[in-house]
Amino acid sequence: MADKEQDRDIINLLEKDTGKGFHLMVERYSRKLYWHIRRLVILHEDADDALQNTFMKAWINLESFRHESSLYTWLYAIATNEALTIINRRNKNGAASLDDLSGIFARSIEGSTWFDGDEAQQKLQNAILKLPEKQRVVFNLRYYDDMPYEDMSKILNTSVGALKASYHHAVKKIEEYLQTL
Amino acid sequence: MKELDKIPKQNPFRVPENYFEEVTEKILAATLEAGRKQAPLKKVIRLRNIIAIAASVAVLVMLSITVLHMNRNMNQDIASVDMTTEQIMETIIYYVDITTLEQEIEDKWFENRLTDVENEEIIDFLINENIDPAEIYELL
Repeated sequence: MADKEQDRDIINLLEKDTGKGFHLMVERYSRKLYWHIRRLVILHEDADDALQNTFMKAWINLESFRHESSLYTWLYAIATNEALTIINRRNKNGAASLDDLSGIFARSIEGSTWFDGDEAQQKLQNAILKLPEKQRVVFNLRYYDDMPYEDMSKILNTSVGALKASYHHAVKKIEEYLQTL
Repeated sequence: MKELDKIPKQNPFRVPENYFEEVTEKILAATLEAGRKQAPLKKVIRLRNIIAIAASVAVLVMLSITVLHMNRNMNQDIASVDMTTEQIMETIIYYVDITTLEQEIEDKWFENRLTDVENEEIIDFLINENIDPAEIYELL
């Protein structure tokens, strides 16, 4: 999924004209990052907030990126942190159950409006929501984005071996959950 | 066939119409207003790092000199006198200051001990923190 050629275009433009380069970065990455965040936070309004915060942080810290190797792992790392911040905030404040979609949708009228999956999709999302946070991130990046473990390792600052074990455990738990229904 | 393989890999979520076009405009407008960290800030951070490294090196050098000086004095004392093992131990204790060391260790121990926390609470905390078993295996 990593398009390193595209990243090079953005980096070249950023060096020539920061504003234009950033514009291109937002255009190229807003969808990918939105869906990555959305799958973690579920609600559109939370994903929207996290996406805007992601680009705001990227913009503010653009100078520090110039020493990094990959634009896309840098952006995914910021987006993942933003999504996890929202989840943690929700866990601290929320009294309602947040381990299935109905629990989350109960807290937001908007939530149910923007989910159009069938029953099987809803079960899968519920199974994913039962995973520990980090396993959920690993599962989503691998299952939906087909992200190589090496890239994931840079984003999550975890060894490839641990990520493979994490994905393996996640799939096993999801399978067990789906079989019990 | 696994249950997971029976479910089509598709995105079940939707977004409001024209969301991505509108959010791009919103992000660009917000970032232009916010400004950005400028290069001089990085220089300040770098300068601070250099000062911190220099201070650490100075402390290390001073400590090394003190330890070397103490060792030399101790070695001279021990070598110059025909002492028993007990006397040597006493001399070492004199230089090491065991009481202060014991007090330090005791203070640290009481500072770090979670006296009011039950095991069950620790387990609950770890569960709430979503500790990833794979991470624990890796650390083990």
